[in-house]
Amino acid sequence: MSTLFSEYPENDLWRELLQFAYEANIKRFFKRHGIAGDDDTLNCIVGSFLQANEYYKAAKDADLQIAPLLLYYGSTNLLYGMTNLLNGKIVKINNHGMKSIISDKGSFIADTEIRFLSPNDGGVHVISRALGFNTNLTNYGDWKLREFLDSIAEINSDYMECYNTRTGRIAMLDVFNTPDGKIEKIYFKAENRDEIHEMLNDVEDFNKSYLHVQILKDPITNKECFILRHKLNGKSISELSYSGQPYLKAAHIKNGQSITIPTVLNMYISLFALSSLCRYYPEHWSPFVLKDTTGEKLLIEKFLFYARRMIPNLVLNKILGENVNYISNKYEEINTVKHVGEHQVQEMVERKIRDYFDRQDILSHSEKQI
Amino acid sequence: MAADFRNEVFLACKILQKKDTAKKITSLIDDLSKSSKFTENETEQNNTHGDFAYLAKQSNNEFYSYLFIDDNIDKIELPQFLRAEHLASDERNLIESGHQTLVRFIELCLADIKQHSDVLATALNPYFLLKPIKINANATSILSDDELLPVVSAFKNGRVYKTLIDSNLAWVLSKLDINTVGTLITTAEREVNRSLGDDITHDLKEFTLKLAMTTKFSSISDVMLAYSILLIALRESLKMSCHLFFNAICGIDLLVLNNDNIINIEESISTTVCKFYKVLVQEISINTFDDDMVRVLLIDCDPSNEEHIHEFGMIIAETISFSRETGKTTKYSFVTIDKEMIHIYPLTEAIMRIGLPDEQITKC
Repeated sequence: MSTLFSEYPENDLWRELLQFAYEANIKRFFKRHGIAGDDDTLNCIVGSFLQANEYYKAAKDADLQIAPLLLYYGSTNLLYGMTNLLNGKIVKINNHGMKSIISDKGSFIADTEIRFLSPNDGGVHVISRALGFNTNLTNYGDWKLREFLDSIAEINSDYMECYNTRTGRIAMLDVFNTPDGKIEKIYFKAENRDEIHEMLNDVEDFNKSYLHVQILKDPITNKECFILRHKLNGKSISELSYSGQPYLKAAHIKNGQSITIPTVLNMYISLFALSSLCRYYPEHWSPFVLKDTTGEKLLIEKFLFYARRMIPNLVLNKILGENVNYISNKYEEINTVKHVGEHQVQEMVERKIRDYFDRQDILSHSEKQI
Repeated sequence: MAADFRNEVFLACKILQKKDTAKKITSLIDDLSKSSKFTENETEQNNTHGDFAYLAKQSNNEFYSYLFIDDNIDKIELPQFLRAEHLASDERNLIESGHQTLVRFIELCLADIKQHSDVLATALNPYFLLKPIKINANATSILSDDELLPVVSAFKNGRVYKTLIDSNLAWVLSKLDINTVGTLITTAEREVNRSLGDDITHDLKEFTLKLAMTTKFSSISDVMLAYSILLIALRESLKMSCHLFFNAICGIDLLVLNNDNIINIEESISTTVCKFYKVLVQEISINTFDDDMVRVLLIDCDPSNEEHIHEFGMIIAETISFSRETGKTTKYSFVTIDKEMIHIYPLTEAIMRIGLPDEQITKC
């Protein structure tokens, strides 16, 4: 992970991305990765990154009436530019690879349905493959927008509040370093305890990574929580949210199959559904923007903010092959002084004394032998 | 090739688990361990034996503890909140049968040694320091002698056993009374027990240094210490076997530490005395036998993709933490045991490498 200082992360992030709006930088990238790209590819990548930046800039100041549309176009250009950059050639895309179906049943925007199409040359599938997610989404049936929103950690608590559900597909982790090693806690309320416990079973590799879950009640706060400890050889399966807090993401079970969609795709697909609404169904979208009474608008606005901030960052991470973290903390000297406790000092002294006497013993025995 | 002693002990445990008498004993111990139970009309009924099992488990001496409590119930001063009632005769018979199984196993294992030296056989008996208890003459072992034969043979094929029985030192002990021998062993045992970890006592460290640097013993005190160490190792192997038989009869599963319960292997140290582990585990399922101190465990885990640990161990310390902030954890300190169920095998190996003296002892 590389950590960069920035007082304006969004601006600096785009400055970093826009290095790929210059042919010389793209050529250097190709050379570094052993790719031979042609002129058309170079022009296509340059155009994609520049257009993406324009859409994102416009989206920042745009009203909710068109903001999702601008962000979807911006993200499509950005992800398309990334795909061509990583492949070193123009990858053919025929359509979005998905379509929206307006539901008359639900009263929420999040009830909008999404159907995946064109597994070979549909935009979402081409981009997914470039991101390393090779699943054919058409095998999982129709989805609802809420099934993508429920897997975005940054809006998890707002999601549960807005749709009055007991849990999404996200479990935020509170990490504690204890004398007996690291533990992770998931706080719950009496009414959603079973749902969260059940949801944890849907987290991919949960049982490989963690020991049996324990349940505790904090004696001071009186809050109940699940205690998670990693197995001896259990790898970390948590992801980091925008705030840096780790979380676990549960899979969806669709058509009897388990599927966990990466965050960048969850956001991209959600943007597609929202952009379709504002572009093709203003009769639904406009009343929602102007006179929403459910509170869903707040959730969508929050989602759009995180999408605008996170998608370009996730794209940059993918291109550079490492997580780029923007922070506003000023530079500080790195302190490598170790503090040891009283017990450790005692142990160290004991060990030294023991070693000394051991050496004396060996020497005296050796002398006797001689 | 003959099976090793440890393997035969576990095979005998499997046979024991299938015996009807063992199942009755399991049920009895289970009943004794519950402070109350619900009757058919769902009324709660206190255990008629009160805290009998709780008291018996305190000394952790298998069936002996139950029989001792039954024999001495009227002589023991109990705090007011505890009470215990005698076992019924059929209950007593069952417990005696369990105890007799262990006693018979020990008798058969030590039969040849007894012919050489009665004192030595007594000293090797895990129960020899305990007060005698009254056993009905008709009490029979759950396993027949034939069923015990493979495990007894495996015991007698052990290298430590053979070193002891082949040595002419037995006659020295036969000249001593059992109390003197007991003192001799207890002194050495204290040194050994204090060295079952990352620290070794000064005397034992000096002794192991001599073992590493010489090819023969130079003093009678070293010979006696070596001899005592082999006795302790062999007696401990019998003690662990008896405890495994007790667990099998009572339906207690072997404690297994694996990737599903280990939090961390805090220490893994090999010394000249033993191989020592300190392992932190997450809560282990609670059963009615939890008051019993487990003696033997199996660690079977993969600390990494390249490393696999599969070892049996003798527990030397167990601490349980019920922290309401971090959950229930248990820390086990244990030393691994080899195929002869010897817990101090690096030390016994070093002694056997030099060998117990035959001629030297007469000169000494």
